[in-house]
Amino acid sequence: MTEISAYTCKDCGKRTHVRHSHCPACKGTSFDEAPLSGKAKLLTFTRVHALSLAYEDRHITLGIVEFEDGCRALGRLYVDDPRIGMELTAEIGTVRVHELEEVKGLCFK
Amino acid sequence: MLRDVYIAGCGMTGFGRAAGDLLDILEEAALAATEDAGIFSEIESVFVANMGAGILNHMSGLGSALVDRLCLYPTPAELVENGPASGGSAAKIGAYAVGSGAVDVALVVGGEKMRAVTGWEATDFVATLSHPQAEYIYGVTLPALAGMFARLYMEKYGITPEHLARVALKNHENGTKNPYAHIQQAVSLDGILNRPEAVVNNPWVAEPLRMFDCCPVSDGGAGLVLCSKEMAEKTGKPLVKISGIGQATDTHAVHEREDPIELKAVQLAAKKAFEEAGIKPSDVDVAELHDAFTILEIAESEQVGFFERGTGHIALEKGETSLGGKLPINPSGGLKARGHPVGATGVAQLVEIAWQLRGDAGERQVKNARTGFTCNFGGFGNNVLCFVLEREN
Ligand SMILES: [Zn+2]
Repeated sequence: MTEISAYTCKDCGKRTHVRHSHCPACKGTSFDEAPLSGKAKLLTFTRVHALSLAYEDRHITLGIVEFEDGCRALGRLYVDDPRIGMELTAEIGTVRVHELEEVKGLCFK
Repeated sequence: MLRDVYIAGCGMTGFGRAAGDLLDILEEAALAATEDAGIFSEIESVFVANMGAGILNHMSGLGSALVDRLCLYPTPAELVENGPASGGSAAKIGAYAVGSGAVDVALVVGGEKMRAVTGWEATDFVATLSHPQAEYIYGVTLPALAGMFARLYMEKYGITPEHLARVALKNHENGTKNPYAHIQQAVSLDGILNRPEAVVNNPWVAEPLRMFDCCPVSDGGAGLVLCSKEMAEKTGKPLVKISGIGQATDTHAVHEREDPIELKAVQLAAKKAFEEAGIKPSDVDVAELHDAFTILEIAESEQVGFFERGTGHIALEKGETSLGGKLPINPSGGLKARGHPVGATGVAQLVEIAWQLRGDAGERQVKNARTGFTCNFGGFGNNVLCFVLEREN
């Protein structure tokens, strides 16, 4: 299973989910890698009806969240009535099954 | 650029579903442009724009393939891929080739054959431009990214579903006047929004966006002959000059942007194009914006500088962006109605503006258009090209 990580810049402390060779804030080049999870706030979301791959679901909900330290990520949203600004918990789970293989990613609940 | 670059010839295929293969599309677009210019054997370099031949059509090396079809060898040729901004990128590279003095004549051809695959395969193909680990694995689609963007933009500026529908209405209406458009059928607010059956005609794609907020999946091609002033003068056609080119990039993953509704690459590309041309956004007479989603036409109309932030939907509502308005946007029908064969779009936008500035746009002609603008939006705003075109004589 692929670990879902975040990268913290050793120079300025900025944390990003996307891995870069250079820190987007200070251009630093060394990072600490750690799993990404915990509490986050919902920034925006969409319920996707026209799906790109063979999902068993009729629709899926995707959202962008911001963790307490400002780190952002996109993931699958498992709440019935999503609202911008709501508090969520991020966990690693199965986000889809593709060619019989489970794809792991961020799930927000 | 060291010297001025002109559009000596332009043309396109009818967008929609093409009977032939991708190479047939490229050939038709190339011949339309070269016949319009009356220039063929003088071509010194060929730039083909395409995004998906490797995935959709199991083809590669399209530059060489087109040169062979045209028997233009040993003319140098290459393929330019920059997602949905491939066309803008190929036109930029062609213009730089002429502008640097390296060549006198460049042929730029954009083409895509997307209807070779099913709808969900086409959606998945376009989604491959999203970030592989941070977006794509979740089943992100371009409409999903646009839906998340629209939710924030609409809430912040009080844009309603009716405003979005009005973009579709306007562009479909314009499409009925464009014989090359994929969709040449007008729609009504009742049909896509107000009546109870509208939810059937216009289902959700990615909330808050519905089907009529999204461009269709199209086949099609478009071509341009770019050349020096001396060559352009020989065509005897009105002189259309590429007077400004701007390009900028932004984060791959949309969520990494400080404010996800700021389209920084759009802002910077437009600013550079206007600066290079030495004009202001208010000098533009006609524009082609990248309305892959209705919300994008409104957002781009503000972020390239035509309207104050938060007022694009009001200008639209007042008819300022309709044909006959102060600044007609997407007279061609835009991506919404002309269609969006991804690699062709950036070239098709320039073809439409060249026609408008020459006075060759038929029923959709913008009166006395002398200055035009295009915005070709790649990724979800991570690579954007803007052009300013001016009629000289
Ligand atoms: Zn840093």
